[in-house]
Amino acid sequence: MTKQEIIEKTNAFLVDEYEKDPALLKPEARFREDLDLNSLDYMDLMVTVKREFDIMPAPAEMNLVVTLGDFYDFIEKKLNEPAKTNE
Amino acid sequence: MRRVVVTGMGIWSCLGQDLQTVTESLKQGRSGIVFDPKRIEYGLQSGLVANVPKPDLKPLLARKFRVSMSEDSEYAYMAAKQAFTQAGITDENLQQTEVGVIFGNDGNEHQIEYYKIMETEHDSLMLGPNALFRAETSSVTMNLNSIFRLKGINLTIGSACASGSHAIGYAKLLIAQGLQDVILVGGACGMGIWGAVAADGLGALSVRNDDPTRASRPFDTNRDGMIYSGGAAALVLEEYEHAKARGATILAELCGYGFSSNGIEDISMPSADAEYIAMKRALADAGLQPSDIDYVNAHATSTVAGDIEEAKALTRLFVQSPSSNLHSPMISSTKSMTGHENWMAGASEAIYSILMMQNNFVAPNINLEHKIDEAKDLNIVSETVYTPINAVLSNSSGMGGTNSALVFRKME
Repeated sequence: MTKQEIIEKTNAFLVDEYEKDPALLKPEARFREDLDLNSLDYMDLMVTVKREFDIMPAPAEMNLVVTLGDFYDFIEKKLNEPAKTNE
Repeated sequence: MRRVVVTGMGIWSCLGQDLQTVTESLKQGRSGIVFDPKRIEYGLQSGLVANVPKPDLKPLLARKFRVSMSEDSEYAYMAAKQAFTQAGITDENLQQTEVGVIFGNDGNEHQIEYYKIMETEHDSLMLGPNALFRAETSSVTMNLNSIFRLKGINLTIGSACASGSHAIGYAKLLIAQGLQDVILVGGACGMGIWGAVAADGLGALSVRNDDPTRASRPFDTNRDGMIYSGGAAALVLEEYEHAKARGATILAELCGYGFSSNGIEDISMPSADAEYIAMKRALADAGLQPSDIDYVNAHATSTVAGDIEEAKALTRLFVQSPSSNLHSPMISSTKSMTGHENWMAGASEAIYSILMMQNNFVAPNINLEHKIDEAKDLNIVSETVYTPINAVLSNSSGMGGTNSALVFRKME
């Protein structure tokens, strides 16, 4: 998945499901201050990310996300992580 | 003791989703019951259910509120919003006045959803952060509390199918004692299939699947069980002087609350003796005699045992006691139209009774063709009667042997 596809998919659920104004969805937008996402929304976003991208962030990882740009980068990084094995 | 009055009402039921529509449904004796084949396919014996629409909350509430709401909280919000509006209580008033909330509720079915998710995902994070707020028995009151930013008492009363009635009675005690001036009270019950399975397994639900609108027939010899129903009802209870001082329209006085428990081992059996005591206490609290009551909204759910015991209790209180003038008031069970609204019933039936009192009519006990012997001396009204109503008594009973009776009267 390209970065642009990640951005489009993420923005789509932020608008449709989280009811955010598309005009606010800029990489520098801060989750808490600019997008009014609270700690419960952070938890909810983890479930949405799992559903949309089939990756499950750990709560501690999500807490490092400050801006929307961080979020795109985080998803891209998780998608590119090598699959874990039992070895 | 301080007097307690009703200054606002709101409803979301199978008879309508506003007071005017519900009043018309009551006058017309319109049934809100339908047949849902999915219930039979799923394995229930009864495919009968009340037709209660889901509210569209998106234009009304921000996502942060909606995501934590159980199904019954959604109904309760719609009812509460109407009740506050009718009472003339604005958002600004709610922030300036200490308003409480007490609702009757005895559980919802969201835990079942979580079970299904856990069985497939094996990861609790997949439930999302709001699962807790939807599944608790107090989901309705916790959600109403945060939406309206209430600061007073916050309490859920769980007492089976008498929950809504006890919630109103308990709020009356708090206001009468001076602990609160205004409390939003009510009852709410979800409509999902899982709420009905246990009652269906008990054999308590009607299987007259081919005749939905005629299936709920309280006090009729051909009754075969209750119909699963729900929604929400809300009332604003207020101390009389407080309501008067702010110029509120007073819809009725809540003048009596009585309660009792059956005191028997059988968890599912009703008791005429105990129901009699609850009604007698409610009348004593109101300072009224049986002969002062113009109308009784019976609990009668259309079950074989329940209707018989209530008929016996009503006969003893209203026909056989010397202070009754040996005369039955008009009686009907609005469950003949609504089905059994469960945790909501005590609150919705208080509203149905007040609407009748305001509009001077008695709603019919529809589907009454052959009255049971135990009710032969009772004036059970099978057609709408237009007549002045000044005082009403509304009965509620629940599994486990809990009874509640409320008395409302017109304010002069």
